[in-house]
Amino acid sequence: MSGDFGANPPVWIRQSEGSGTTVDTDLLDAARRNWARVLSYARRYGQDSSIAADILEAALLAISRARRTSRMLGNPIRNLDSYLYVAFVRRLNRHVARQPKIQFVGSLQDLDAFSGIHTRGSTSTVEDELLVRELLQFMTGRPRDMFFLRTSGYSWKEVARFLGTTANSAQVLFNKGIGTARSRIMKLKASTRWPSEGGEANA
Amino acid sequence: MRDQALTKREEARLIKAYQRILQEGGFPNPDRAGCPDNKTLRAIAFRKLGSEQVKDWSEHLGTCTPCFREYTEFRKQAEWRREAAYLSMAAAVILLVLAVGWWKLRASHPVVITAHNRVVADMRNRLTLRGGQGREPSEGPLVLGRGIDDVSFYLPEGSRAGTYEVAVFREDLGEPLVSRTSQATLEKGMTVLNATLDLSRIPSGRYLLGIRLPGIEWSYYPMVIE
Repeated sequence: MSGDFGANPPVWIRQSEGSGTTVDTDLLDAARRNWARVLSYARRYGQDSSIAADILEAALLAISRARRTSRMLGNPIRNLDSYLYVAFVRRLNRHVARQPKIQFVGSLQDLDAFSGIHTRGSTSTVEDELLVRELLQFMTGRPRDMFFLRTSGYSWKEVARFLGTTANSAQVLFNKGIGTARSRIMKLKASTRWPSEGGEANA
Repeated sequence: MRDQALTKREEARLIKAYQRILQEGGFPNPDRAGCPDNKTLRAIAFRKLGSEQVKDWSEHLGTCTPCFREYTEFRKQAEWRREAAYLSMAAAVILLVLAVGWWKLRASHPVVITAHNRVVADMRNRLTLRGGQGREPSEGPLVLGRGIDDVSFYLPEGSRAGTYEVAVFREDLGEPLVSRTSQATLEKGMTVLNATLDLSRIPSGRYLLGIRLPGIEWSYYPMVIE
């Protein structure tokens, strides 16, 4: 079974999981609503609509499975649109990170076109942006929520009030989250062997 | 990357970097899918929404460029309003302090009135207070204006010409506030004493005017300085 979202370009997504369980209608509705949004995000990172659709489908099915479990645990998803979008972004970022960093160009003219490209801001600015993207990708739910609140200008005191704890405890929790994300990144980097690093490129 | 906790500076850098990503279109949402309405964004920015509702939208706000841009605008308005409120409160406090200071200064330094008045004070039928006894007054208290007063006193009948002392006392007596010595002369059957009294530094109120021949007891007359 599949659903055509009727968007431009259209997207087809399976409406049942591998086990045969049907995906909830509201989840499919959320995917339909967010299709243009996820596609815009994917295009910013040079990904086409087919990759965006595959990743959205994978995120949708994963959420459908997770939702059944969380429903049983009495822990419903607060905002389905945001949840689906963030799941998509994380999956897409992981997909982009796995792609080789070398970009091949068809002609010398194409190569010349790249010489005019400048990165805006200083190197540290770009590094900060890369770092925060990577950290968020590997952060778990609570620290990520805390980071979003901090980005929205909430003080640690206010963030702590939302969590029902003290400002100090909230900061400790957040730093633990950052630490976990860091160790996950380091683990991943240690296990990943890029073609250029492993010598396969010469093989 | 370090393993320790983020310093405040590092955290601020990460937050700034993420805000930049959001502001510069890092999370486009052309159809505004799943976006809260304008009212909700405004309520979040003005901190008018409950924590549970904020938690519902915080993730969306952190992953939607159009919403974050609108929210930032509302936040600027909220900050501006808060600053304006603080400034007006500070201005009010400063004004109050200035007003109190001015009032205190005024109270400690009585205003000097430099008006020059010419007054005729007919004492012939006025109440005389001497040693606790006196006659019934035929007129009200003598009224003099604040400033420098040239007063022509028509002394009671039978007063002789000569040198007189004129002074202004508080109602409870004590040291005279102003005192002058002047010559009284006989004019058209009246004893007239011309004296210039400097009442410019004396606050308005009720006083006693004292007149006497040197060495003799004071005769007091109720007096009002206006």
